[in-house]
Amino acid sequence: MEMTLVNAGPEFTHIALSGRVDLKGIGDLDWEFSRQTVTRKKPVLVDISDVDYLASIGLRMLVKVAKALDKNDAKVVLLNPHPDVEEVLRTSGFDKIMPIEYDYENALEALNNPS
Amino acid sequence: MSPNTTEDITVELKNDLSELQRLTKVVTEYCESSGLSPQILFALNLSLEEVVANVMSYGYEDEHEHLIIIRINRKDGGLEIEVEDDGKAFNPLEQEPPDIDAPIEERPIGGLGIHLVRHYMDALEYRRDNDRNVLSMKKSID
Repeated sequence: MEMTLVNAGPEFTHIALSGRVDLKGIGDLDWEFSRQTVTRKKPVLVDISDVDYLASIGLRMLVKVAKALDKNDAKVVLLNPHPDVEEVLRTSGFDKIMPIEYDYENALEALNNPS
Repeated sequence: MSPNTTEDITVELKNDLSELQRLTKVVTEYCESSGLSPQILFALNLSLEEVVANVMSYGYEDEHEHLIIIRINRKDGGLEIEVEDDGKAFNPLEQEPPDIDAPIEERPIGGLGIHLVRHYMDALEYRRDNDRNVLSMKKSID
């Protein structure tokens, strides 16, 4: 897995993940992902277009951040999952706690909508 | 090799999380040489990783090396997968299903691994056999 901080603006944090989000892939990036998102207390747009595999450890990483940000009324929005990855997310009910969007404009809108 | 003559495989892993990468590699090669679809490969890799990572993380109370045995057999138009370990008795199927409709503040961090395995596999069965845990999974490939 690779993580890129695309933009840390005043309105939201934009992060892109890629590769395999599994036990091996996450490694120490779990901590880094929290650091780049939770500490800013802004809504987070996570572009997962290039994630080709998502295991439960990756769900854990996402929900941990979403729960922490929820305390600041900030949302996590997921952008453009691969169908296999989307199935993991929906099977776990993640679409009910972090919107899944397929284009950037809609994702930005979802970031700002109240829960 | 034609899809119908693929040989069954057995993989032995040490109880070390670094072994999961080797498991993924073996399973990927097996699926590709058997002509199985990318969806089956995804389901198989995910289910095995969840089950085996659970055993490695919570199954052992000592520091000794243990072997986890994984068998994949092609049978009756489907796959039969077994994960056998000598860890403490643990039936993952007794775990309560998670509430996937709960609001975010009530969501636990974790507890989704077996839920995913139940989704991706068609049948699951646990038995304790000679002080060993055996989890059998079936996946239709039609």
